[in-house]
Amino acid sequence: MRRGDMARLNEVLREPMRVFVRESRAHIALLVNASGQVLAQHGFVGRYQVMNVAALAAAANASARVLADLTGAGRWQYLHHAGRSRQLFLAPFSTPSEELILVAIFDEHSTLGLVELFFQRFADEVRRLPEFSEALPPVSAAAFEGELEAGLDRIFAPQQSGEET
Amino acid sequence: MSDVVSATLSRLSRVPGVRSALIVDAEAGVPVASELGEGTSGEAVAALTASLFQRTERAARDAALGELGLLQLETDEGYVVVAGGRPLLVVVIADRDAQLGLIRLETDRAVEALR
Amino acid sequence: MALVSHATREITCKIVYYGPGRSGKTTNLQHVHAKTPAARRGQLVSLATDTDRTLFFDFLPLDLGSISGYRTRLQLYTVPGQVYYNSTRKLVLRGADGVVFVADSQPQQLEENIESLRNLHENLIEQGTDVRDVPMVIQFNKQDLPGAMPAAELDDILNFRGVPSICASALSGWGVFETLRAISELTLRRVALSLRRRVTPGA
Repeated sequence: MRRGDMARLNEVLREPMRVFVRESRAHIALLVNASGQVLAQHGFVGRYQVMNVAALAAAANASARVLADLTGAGRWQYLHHAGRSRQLFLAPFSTPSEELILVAIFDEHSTLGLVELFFQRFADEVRRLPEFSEALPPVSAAAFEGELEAGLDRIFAPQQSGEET
Repeated sequence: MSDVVSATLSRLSRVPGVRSALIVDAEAGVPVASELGEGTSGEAVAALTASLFQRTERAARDAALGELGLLQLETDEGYVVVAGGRPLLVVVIADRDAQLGLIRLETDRAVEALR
Repeated sequence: MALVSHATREITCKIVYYGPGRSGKTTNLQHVHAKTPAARRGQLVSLATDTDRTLFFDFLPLDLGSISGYRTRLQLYTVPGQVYYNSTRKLVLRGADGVVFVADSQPQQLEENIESLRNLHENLIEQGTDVRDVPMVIQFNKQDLPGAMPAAELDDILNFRGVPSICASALSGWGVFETLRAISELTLRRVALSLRRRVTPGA
């Protein structure tokens, strides 16, 4: 769970996200933490779309994790859904401060292999960031819902204009 | 791994000068089978060569030159040959002093065997 | 949608515990799990956040034994209460045969209760379910807390469908099984009714 450093997080994640999207040729990408709180996004049009995808991605990750435990499969690397024209890639990775999840949607201009390759590099990049190198303080129960929304507020704040994302 | 794939791969990697040989799933950009030289990342090579082939394929088609059969890269230390078509690609990484003609021959043979 | 197998004489019903965040939905299931003999229940699976809020759902399968010759099973689910998780909440609500609305009796949570109830109806309608057709029970949880609103008042404000309402303190276990019994009865009765309708010729 994240607090007041949302603004700085968006800043430091901007470049790694941009590189990931450019190299992997994904056209939508979203970075959330295990609770579904949004830390960075690229290519989404609106707050509600992001909210839905973020919550569902966190849920998908949580159920896949339990599935892996129940079946003795160990930790899973990524989830891949191949649609007719679009594909979805969802991968968890750990940083010292929290577990994060990257979601990417790509089409025939990219491949699973490419997305996975640049996801690995993205994950390594994020792990090296000082903002993700220390354990986070616990969040108060009462503040929980507000914290969830805080990520969206930052990303869709009106003063963020001229954004490449 | 199927017999054809492993036999094909074996044959390719035995050609003098070949450092690594891979059979790649063209659509997903992931390795199906590989014999890799030291320090070579199969996943990275598979992803990048498949992507390159795909884009070059598009360029060839747009230039009305027909279907792409083979892509060859020349670098200061050697060659990368990417051949084939859907669903598999044959990728060979070879030293500068390798016999390119022989490699091309074996690559063509591999593509045929996998068809 | 209740799963009925006439061949093996088994009925499985899905009960969803709904309500605002932290009203005690998960606590209800935890208590049921703790107090039900192992032979009559499965594992409690909880998909939660690191702050122990339900992220996707909690799931607990129960075996009620034989009722009218049918082996009766319940699948209890909870939903995440926060507004943020509405999309996952909708998924869990699909195919619910019965709903327990867990209301938080604290006065500062009244708005949340109302909003959650509205959200429940909205999601049911979106699924094409007639709200009046869904067996439902309201639990006024946290009645043990000082300053908790009286049940009669909560009933007035929230229970406009006039469904059975039960007072509870899920943390201590009070009212948890009464709630479960009430919703099971309602749900099974509804399933039995629909079965009879299908079996009776020309009905």
